[in-house]
Amino acid sequence: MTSSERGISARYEGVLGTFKLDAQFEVPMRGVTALFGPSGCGKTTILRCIAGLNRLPGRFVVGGDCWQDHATGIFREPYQRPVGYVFQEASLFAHLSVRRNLL
Amino acid sequence: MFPLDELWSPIRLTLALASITTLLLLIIGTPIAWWLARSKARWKEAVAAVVALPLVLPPTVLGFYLLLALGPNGPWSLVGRFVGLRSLAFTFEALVIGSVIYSMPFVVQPIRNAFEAFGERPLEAAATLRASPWDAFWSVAVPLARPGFMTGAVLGFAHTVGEFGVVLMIGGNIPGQTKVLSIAIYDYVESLQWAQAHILAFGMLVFSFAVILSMMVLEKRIARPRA
Amino acid sequence: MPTLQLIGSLFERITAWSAAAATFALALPYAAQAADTNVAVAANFTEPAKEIAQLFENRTGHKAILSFGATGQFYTQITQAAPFQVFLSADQSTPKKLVDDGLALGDTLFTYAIGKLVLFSGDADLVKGEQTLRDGSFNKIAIANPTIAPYGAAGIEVMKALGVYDKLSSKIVQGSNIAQTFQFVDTGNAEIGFVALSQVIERPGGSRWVVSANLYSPIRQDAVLLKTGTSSDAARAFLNFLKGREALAVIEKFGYGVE
Repeated sequence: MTSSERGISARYEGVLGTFKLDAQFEVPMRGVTALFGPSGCGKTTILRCIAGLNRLPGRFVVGGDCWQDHATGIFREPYQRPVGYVFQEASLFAHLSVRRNLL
Repeated sequence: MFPLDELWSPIRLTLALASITTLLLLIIGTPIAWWLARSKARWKEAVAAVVALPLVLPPTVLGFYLLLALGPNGPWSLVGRFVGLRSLAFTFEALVIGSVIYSMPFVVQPIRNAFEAFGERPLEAAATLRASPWDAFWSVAVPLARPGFMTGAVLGFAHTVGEFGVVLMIGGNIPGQTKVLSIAIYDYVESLQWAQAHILAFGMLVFSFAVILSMMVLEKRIARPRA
Repeated sequence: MPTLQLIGSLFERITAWSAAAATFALALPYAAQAADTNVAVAANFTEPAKEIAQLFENRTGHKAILSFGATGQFYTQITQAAPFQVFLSADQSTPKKLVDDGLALGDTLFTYAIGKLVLFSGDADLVKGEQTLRDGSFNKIAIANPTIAPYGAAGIEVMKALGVYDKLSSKIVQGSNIAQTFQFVDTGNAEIGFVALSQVIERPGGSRWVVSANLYSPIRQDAVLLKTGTSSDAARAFLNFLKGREALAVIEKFGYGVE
């Protein structure tokens, strides 16, 4: 929209099961940003939405590159997003050795 | 003593039928199992029930409807006139079709279970590691589901080897083409050639035992954690 | 026209039932203790057997419980003590074998029917007599498994007698018994087949040739009392009934010959 969108802009509003999410924030492209809050407030849900693993209505733009926009129907699949996700629980590939997991 | 080709022909035929059927079922059954494991469609279990029908359907019922379907008055007739074959019954191909339908639940079910067993996480991890769905399927889902594939293949093979009712209905008992092991044994018993029946039946018993035993051993080996 | 036929057949049925009721009423005083007997019947004799069993029950009050199947299968079951008391075979050799095995009473052995072989096709234009076999213009010809069914063996005999066996042998498909053979032809999967006359005698349409008797050895079907039925009045009564006038009429009606 505006030409000065250099940061990461997120807006999610939707329902996941019995959980209702209504979030909006803008953060800079560089550095480390922390999301914190009491358990059950939606931190993991937001991260999963950013990765594309959950699909909630909203809008997500990274440095002018729109990954998701409910209004125009844009949604980039998870494997198309340059995101590195570390899961809360260990998520190794059981069928690969340690070496193969790393590589 | 006994004409060896007469005894060998049904064995050879049965092995061919079981191998081809198992191969086809792995190819056809895997996408079905994948869809059943992953789909969120509401009518998913209805499809699962249809696939599982041969588990409860008497083989003679299946065979009877196949006989009608493959005949000149059934769906086959649409294709038959172009190929110049009035009826597909009494051919090896008919047996393959019958076996594929009849053994399908034995292959689809284990593979579906295996796909469901590893849950969402490995595929999500693969996606965040930039693997396309096709890539993720082959490099993550299939290796993780390997026990399911093995079980499905073994069960499908063994089940086809034992098939009798369907073949009886549509086979026509043609030596070298549709006279499979189970039919040959039945014939020998009917015509009171019990010695030949003993040989084939006992051989089949040993074979089935070996198959099941190796399946159990293999499953143990695969389940052992990797270094 | 259909209405007339319906009325006609209804009339026939009412008449038949009245006759049966009258017969039953007459027979009642003569029925000793009404008993059941288990009869194993060759598949080809299914329809006539059912009618004869009904007449038998009307006449004597005894009930013949019929099981239909392949002759060879019955032999195996009988040697394993299956509870049949009477055996109506499709051939002569199997009852004889049972007598030799000591499982049947030799002095009760007799031929109850003589089978007639028919070349039948669902296609009304196909069968024109023995020429059809010589022409061989069909894909598949169905016969009953010759090693276990006499009608199948007879079919082979006919083909050899006409000198067409070599030409037709690659087109042969085998039904596990005569009933299945007929099923192959009836569903059109085999255009033509050797079946029993009794199977097609009441089937309209198609084309058929009652094979000349000189082309195959007579299909004598023998009946025998099994050892398990020695003390069964109902079993002996059934065998006797089978030789009687009423039964013979039914047997002939269904296209079998009688001695």
